[in-house]
Formats: sequence, structure tokens, C-alpha cells
Amino acid sequence: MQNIGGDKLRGHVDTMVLSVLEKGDAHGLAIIKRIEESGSGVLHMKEGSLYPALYRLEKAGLVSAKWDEQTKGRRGPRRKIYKLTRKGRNQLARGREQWQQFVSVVGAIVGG
Amino acid sequence: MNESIEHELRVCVERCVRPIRASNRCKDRMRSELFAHLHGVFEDERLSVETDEAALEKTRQRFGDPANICAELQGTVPWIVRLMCAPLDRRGRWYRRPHESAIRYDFRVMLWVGAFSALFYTALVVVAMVLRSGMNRPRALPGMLAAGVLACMLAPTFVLLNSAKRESLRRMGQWKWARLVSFAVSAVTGVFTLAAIISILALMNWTGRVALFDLTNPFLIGGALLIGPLVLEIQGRFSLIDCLRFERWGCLEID
Repeated sequence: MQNIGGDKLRGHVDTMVLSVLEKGDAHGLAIIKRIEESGSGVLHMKEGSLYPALYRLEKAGLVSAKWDEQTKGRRGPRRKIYKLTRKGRNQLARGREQWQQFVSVVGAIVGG
Repeated sequence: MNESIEHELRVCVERCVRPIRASNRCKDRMRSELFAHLHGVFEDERLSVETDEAALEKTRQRFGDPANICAELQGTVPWIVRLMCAPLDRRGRWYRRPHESAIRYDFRVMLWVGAFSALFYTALVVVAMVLRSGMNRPRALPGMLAAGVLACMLAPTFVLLNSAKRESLRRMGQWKWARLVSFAVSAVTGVFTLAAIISILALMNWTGRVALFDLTNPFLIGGALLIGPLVLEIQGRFSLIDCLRFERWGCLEID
């Protein structure tokens, strides 16, 4: 199967991130891992797409973020944990509707 | 993780973040987050390869081209912030260059502040003259010139004081004399600054009750003596934060 990444993901990153955060709070690397796991190994998200999306979503109030000061049980610097807000949940519901519409319309044309 | 690997990861992060035109606070947030991210990627990769060097190479590959990440991150910065930070970051004028001595850096900043003060003051006088076309220009001119020269000298002096203050804050207990001297000189500087401001406003007929800086007014003198040290204390602490940030990130050779 051909890899999915870069331009093919453009326009869907925000909804994908919101969707991943619906399953639980996560830091940047964990978000990438969850997306790649859900994408059956063919979907690759780059940091250059993820972090700008996270900053956009945070600014729009769709996600909230706080620094995780706890380093017990793991090595390394502190991480920033993102959490889906109520506004983010509403946006995710709208995003899902739009996605379904997109799939049905484009699927009807491309699917033959 | 050994120090050299950590250094390389920091260099990777700095390549993405340093060229971004954004506030220092925003860039620091990006640095911390990307560094934590790279640290996690490295730990992951280290489990699948034998050496740190191989893991570092794989981490770099996974991270991708710093220029692309930089461009994407730049897009998240509002245009007004981008515009305001442009002259600061593009040439690194306000940052201490790698291997630059503290004295040379302070001297360089002093020159810039002096030049900037002269420009700012000239613009201020031009605006004032346009707005107050009815003022007594022959009477006001010598005072304005004197205040201008003073302003252009005081601003660089303040840079030096700020530097002394920063170092005294950094070496708490060791540099007590520097704190004392900077307080005393900044207090005197505050008197001159306020005197210059009030005098020029009075010469332009913009002050109602205060004609010129009154040396017999205890409130005026007391206020003037407090302004300098207060501004210096606040500025010195901000400067120290900037300095500590520079030592961790700004010194990295990224080319």
C-alpha cells in the first residue's frame, strides 16, 4: 500500500488531532504515534504538520495544554500535554460530519 | 543520554526555531516542546539500533528537514509579531554572538541603543513641532537640543547599567558593589531623564503647573530618584532571563 503523508493529509490534520485527543490526553510524540498506529503503518505525520496544528488548535481554544512537570518513571525533559476542550469536541463533531459528506460526495465520483 | 547527543538534539531544534520571527517566549515554548519530542524519538530509536550515533541519525531522518518545520511553525505566528520581531532576529543584533565577549556585546548594544535613541528623539521633535506650530521655537530649540544630546547619552548609559545589574543578579552575593553602584548611578540617571522630559514639555508649553524641572520639589526629586533603580531592577531581571536563555540555546552553532 502506498504511504499517505504530506499534501494528502493537508486539510485533515486538525480533525485527526482532535480525534486522537478524544481518546485521551497526549503529548506531541504520542499523538503522532497514535495517528500512525491507527493509520495501519501507511500514514505518516511529520512534526512540521503536527506542531503548527497543535498551536493553531490551542489558540482557537479547541485544545488546552499544560506542561507535565512529572518526570517520575521516565527520563528526559518535561513534555506538554494536550487535552481536548468542550469547544474542541463540538468542532470534532462538525469535522466528522464534514468528512462523511466529503467521503460520500467524492466517493460517488471517484468510486465509479 | 550523553551530553554530546543532547547537544546534537538541541542543535536540531535550534535549526528549526532560531530563524522563526516570533517573541522569545513563544520560541522558548517551541524549543522546549520540540526538544522533548526529539528526546522521545531518540529513546525510541535507541531501542532498535546498537549505537547512539545510529539512533541520532535515525532521529534526524524522522524529524525531517528543519527548514520545512521552521516554515510551518512560522505560519502560526501572527503577522504583527512577525513584523515586530523581524529586525531583532534576522541578523541577531540583540543577541550575543557565539564567542563574543560580554564587553563587546554591551558596547555593540550601546551603539545601537544610542543610534535608536537619536532617531527616536528626532522623530519626537519633528512630531512635536508639527503638532505645536505655535510654540516659541527659538526659545525651545536649545533646550530640545540639550535634552536630545542627554537622551542619546543616557540610553547607552542605561545599557551599561543594565549589564552590571544583570551580572550582579546572576552572581548574587559576589557582585554587591555592582548592585550598589548601578542603583546609585541609575538614580542619578533617573533625575536627569525626568528633568529632560519635564523641561522639554515645559519649553513646548505642554505642562500647566510645572514650568521646568524643579529641584526644590521633594516629590519630583523623590520620584526621579526612584524611577531609575526601579526600571533598572525590572529590566535587569528580564535581561538575566534572556541571558540564561541565550546560554542554553543562543550559543549553539547551527550552521
